[in-house]
Amino acid sequence: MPINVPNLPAMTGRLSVPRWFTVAGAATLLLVPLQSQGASPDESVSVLIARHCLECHSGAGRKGGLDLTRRETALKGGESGPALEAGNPDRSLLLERVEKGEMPPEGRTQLTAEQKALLREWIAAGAKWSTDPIDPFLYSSDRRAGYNWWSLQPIRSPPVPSIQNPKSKIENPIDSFVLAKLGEKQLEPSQPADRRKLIRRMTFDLVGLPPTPAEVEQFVSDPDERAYERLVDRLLDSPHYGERWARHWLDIVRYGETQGFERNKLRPSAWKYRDFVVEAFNSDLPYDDFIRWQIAGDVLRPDDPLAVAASGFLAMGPYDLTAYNNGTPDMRAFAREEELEGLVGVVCQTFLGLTVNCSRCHDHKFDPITQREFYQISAALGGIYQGPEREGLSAAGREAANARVAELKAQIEKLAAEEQSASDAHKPDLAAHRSRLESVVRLMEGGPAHVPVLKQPDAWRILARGDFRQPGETVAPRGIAAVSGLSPDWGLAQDAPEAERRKALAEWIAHRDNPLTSRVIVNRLWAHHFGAGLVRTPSDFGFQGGQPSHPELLDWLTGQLVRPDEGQPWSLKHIQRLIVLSATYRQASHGDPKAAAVDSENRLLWRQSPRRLEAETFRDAVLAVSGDLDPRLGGPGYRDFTVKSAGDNENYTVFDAIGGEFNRRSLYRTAVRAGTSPLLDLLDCPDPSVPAPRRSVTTTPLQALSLLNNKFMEHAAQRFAERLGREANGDEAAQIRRAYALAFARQPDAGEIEFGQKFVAQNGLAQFCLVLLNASEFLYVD
Amino acid sequence: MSIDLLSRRDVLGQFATGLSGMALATLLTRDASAATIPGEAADPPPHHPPKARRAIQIFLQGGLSQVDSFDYKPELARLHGQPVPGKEKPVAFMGKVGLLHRPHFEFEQRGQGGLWVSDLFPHLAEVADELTVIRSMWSGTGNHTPATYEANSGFRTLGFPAAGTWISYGLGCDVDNLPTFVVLPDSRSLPTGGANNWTSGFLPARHQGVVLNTSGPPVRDLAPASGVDRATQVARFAALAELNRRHLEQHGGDDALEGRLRSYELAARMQLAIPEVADLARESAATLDRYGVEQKECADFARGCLLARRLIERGVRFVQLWSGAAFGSEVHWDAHGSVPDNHRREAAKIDRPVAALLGDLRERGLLDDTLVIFNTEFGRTPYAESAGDQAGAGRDHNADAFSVWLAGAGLKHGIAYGTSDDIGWKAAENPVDVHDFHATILHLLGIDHTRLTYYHNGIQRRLTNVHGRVLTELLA
Repeated sequence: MPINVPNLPAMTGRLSVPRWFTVAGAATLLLVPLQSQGASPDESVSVLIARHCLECHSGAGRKGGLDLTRRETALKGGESGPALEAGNPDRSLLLERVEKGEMPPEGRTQLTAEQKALLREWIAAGAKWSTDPIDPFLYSSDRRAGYNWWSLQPIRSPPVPSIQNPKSKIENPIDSFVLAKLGEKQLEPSQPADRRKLIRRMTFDLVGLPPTPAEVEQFVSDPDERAYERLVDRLLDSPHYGERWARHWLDIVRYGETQGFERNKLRPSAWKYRDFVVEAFNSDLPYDDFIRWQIAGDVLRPDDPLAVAASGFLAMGPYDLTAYNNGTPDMRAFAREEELEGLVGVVCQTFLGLTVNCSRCHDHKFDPITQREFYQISAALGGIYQGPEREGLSAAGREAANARVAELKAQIEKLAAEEQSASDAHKPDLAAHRSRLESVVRLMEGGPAHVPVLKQPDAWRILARGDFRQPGETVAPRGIAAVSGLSPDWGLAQDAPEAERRKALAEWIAHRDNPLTSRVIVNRLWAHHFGAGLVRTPSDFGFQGGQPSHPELLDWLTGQLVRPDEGQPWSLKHIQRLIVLSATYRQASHGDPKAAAVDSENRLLWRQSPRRLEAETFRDAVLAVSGDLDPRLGGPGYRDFTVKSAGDNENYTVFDAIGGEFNRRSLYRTAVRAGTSPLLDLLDCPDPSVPAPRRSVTTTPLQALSLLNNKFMEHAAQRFAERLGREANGDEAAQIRRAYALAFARQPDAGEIEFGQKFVAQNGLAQFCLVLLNASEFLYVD
Repeated sequence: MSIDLLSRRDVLGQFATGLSGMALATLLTRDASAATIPGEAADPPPHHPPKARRAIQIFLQGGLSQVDSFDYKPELARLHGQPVPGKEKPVAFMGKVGLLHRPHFEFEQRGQGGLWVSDLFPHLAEVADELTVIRSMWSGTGNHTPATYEANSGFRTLGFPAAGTWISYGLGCDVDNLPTFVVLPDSRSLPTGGANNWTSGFLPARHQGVVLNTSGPPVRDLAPASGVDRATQVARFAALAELNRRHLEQHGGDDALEGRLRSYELAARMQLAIPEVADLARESAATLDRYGVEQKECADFARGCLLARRLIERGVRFVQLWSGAAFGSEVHWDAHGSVPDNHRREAAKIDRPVAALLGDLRERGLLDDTLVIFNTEFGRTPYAESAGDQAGAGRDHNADAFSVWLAGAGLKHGIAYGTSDDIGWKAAENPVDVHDFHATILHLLGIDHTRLTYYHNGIQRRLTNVHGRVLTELLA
């Protein structure tokens, strides 16, 4: 396939245009050859053909048998005879159909009179193909993305807009980009949120837990003008930060601790991958290494227990053991192809936002990815299998790790001693840090891990229609040509060793010039701070996905990740720090009908979006407020289910998880496929069988019933009430004040105290607590 | 659980004293029976006038033997004890390919239409004129779990939304006090794959199938875990309404927050509606007897079928009944050892209740706009699962031909569509895959299967993937 990509200007929108075009109207392209800028009519017509004709008239499934990518095939024509006669427009069927308005067909963007005239002139002049063949992926159209699609272009360094006489505060360049866009629509940002709201919002965002009343009061009354910055730093340093952000990551990699399907066996050591992710966030592992380790950590750093645990990423998908152990050869082959499609999908969507998996059976319908390229990528992953858990660390690594464990244990002892003499306020923090070190020790100590089993792939073939019974040409491991900025050629032969394949893939993805990798992760971070990304489809930066609301801001922020003004590149904490320090993030979330009339979805960020707690965050918050949360990090998950083995199958029955180890954060729930938690399900916890780049937010009567009646909820309310009894000295009003402080991070007004007292008198304190845990104010973050 | 735990009058009475006028007014102006929850499809159905307004699906897990039930093969009887004719080497999931085995049950032509139904289903045979049998179904795999996922979601892997959730997403519910998609698992256990079989997958969670138990509390968390009294429950609803209303007002109005307020009102209604629908004591003795509720061998499934009728009568859109529990022990249709023993036992559980359901729906006029679906993940081999020189009693998995049926709205009744080859091994004339089957079901419900889509992770997903043909030959 030719990869002769012209040097096009950066895209600004779906209908962005090469330089020899001008745009007339919102959706119609007016072809105007600008000779002065160097485009000949031949080039212009090639563009026209690429945009308007090749979607149907190219490739294996071409309509009417007509292939317009080559001059030769166009002259030869299709089922209706020759399409063109060079030099003779009046004997050219193509022109006749176009001039009659029959082509492009109804429903497609029609050609303008000027374009038709140009086509006539071009045929008269001999119908020269400026490039032969014309690559159907050359240009984006209103139907599909081409090589010039915005997300595939190199990262720009857009100038920070200068805002004249800003009416609101500009904390950093993020705000300038946002204000510039708001100004275009005569919108203004919202006022800053008050400190109570800010600390509740940011604590949930960064560590996934509610702030304690003491933390709230301390922050609210902090006279230091850098109080906010200090809060940001404290939260980013908290070991609970890693737990919060690991959960987001586990959603997109479909982290599952059982295989799924009929056998559905447990993966008893899969948690090591989860703990690696937690630690990667906590230690701010540079994102390029985070990628490398997950794709090839076992071969890049075979001596590093964390990098080896990271490669568990490759073995997290569902696995049909029945097909392998009992199936016919066809069943095994089919299961294998499905597995590979899933793996290509999860690798390319997670890191690149590219749906390469859609081109398993045919060239991608919407993005410039060929079927061949699907197999080039799958060739890089084709040695990956699942199998028994095993020690993945090298012998040399074992020794080094043991030494490191000894060091860590000494540190842990020191921290434990410090805890003894620390103040009550400081104790939890020290305990959390100690727990983090203990978690790392667990990863270092070795033993079996759920990492892939690797085999050298055989000759790797393109499968016609994705069918293993129709093998075709062989391919070598290689990248995707449409990704600009770096070569798709990895210099690998078709029989390259398995390890080299994954290394090359990892390097190609983690390369700082790969424009997708950095844009995609920056957008994911943004999405979790604003409820939606600048691109609203975090795992799809192709045509079916969205356009960025603020393309310049996205690129500026991406630049800060890859080539930061200060500090190390690829620091996710640096990007998050920029985001939460912006005035844009600190805005109030209150509605405004006037602004909503212009921008109901808040794409321009005239306010912060109110958000409902995710399922796990809700459950964690309930535990925290009731005083029962066990904050320890890492290790094997809790199992709120019984397992019944029947034959070779494992069947899971889930029960309400109350007390004891179930007081740990919901991140530590063992992620059973076909055994999800009904309480969490009702709050839109995604099925671990498929990646979940965005969670839905649904509100249903069954959810209401569960939050009121579920045993876990009843128990938590009871514990919450007991806590109030302990902490508020039996004074009813004081108990209600304490309850509001714990649940809502604020004090109740006189009316609310009276209302509460009346309710408590009639129904008891525990019922009051249950009501608070069901309140919108508890479930929503302003 | 009792119905008068929280009566509607009590709810309103307490709200009247405990709530602001506004909240009370909202509650009073809504009539529980009139409210509906619409679907949320971007291109909302109906895409054409529907024939069926709702559907009941009966799913036989394990693999019903077509050559012993609905696909009459005299040639198979003639070739009994011989190897499979022809050049193709038969394969078997369990690896044992025995000799051809004659049908284990006698076949007869039934009803006015003369449809062939075996003695395996004597009661269903009585209502043969209601059935539209497809004898040329084939599945992509003879592996239970992927085939079951495929039969339910169109995909052979897990995590894709089940047909019931697509239908919920497209059509919503006629009432707001009952779930849209209800699942009645086999009383012996959930099927293999559990809730994966009725997952909403990537569709919003509210479309997920809701499990209704035929014994014990009908729905999880419907009533307080501890015995909180009625007055307290009412007070909780009232206090929450007050708190949430204040919160809503302070936030300048917000659809999501208003939705939360309303969800608790609906919850209170659901607490009344579900015990009512689950209370089979309200049925006449004749009806209970007809379904076989008092018959030991079929009591569980009889209760399920009766519940299904009561649910759809009250506006539930899709009810799925499971015949067959989890794999591992033989509590399903997976007749590896002995078709006569296995199928006789399983059929005895469902035959009478399913036939009674069809008859009852017909008499009540419900079959005119209700679709009944009876399917299985694949069929069974015409050759025995035994040593190569024997014709034992068991049959192995056969993905290449099996039989299913539809009944009710919009169909030609009492006919069979498609054929398998002479021995019932492979679909022959008019082969039908699961996508065609799903496309046809959606069509009957007023849905164009190509237009019911949901964007997930880069792809506009459909129940029928990129396949599917409406079987117009079956339509009346």
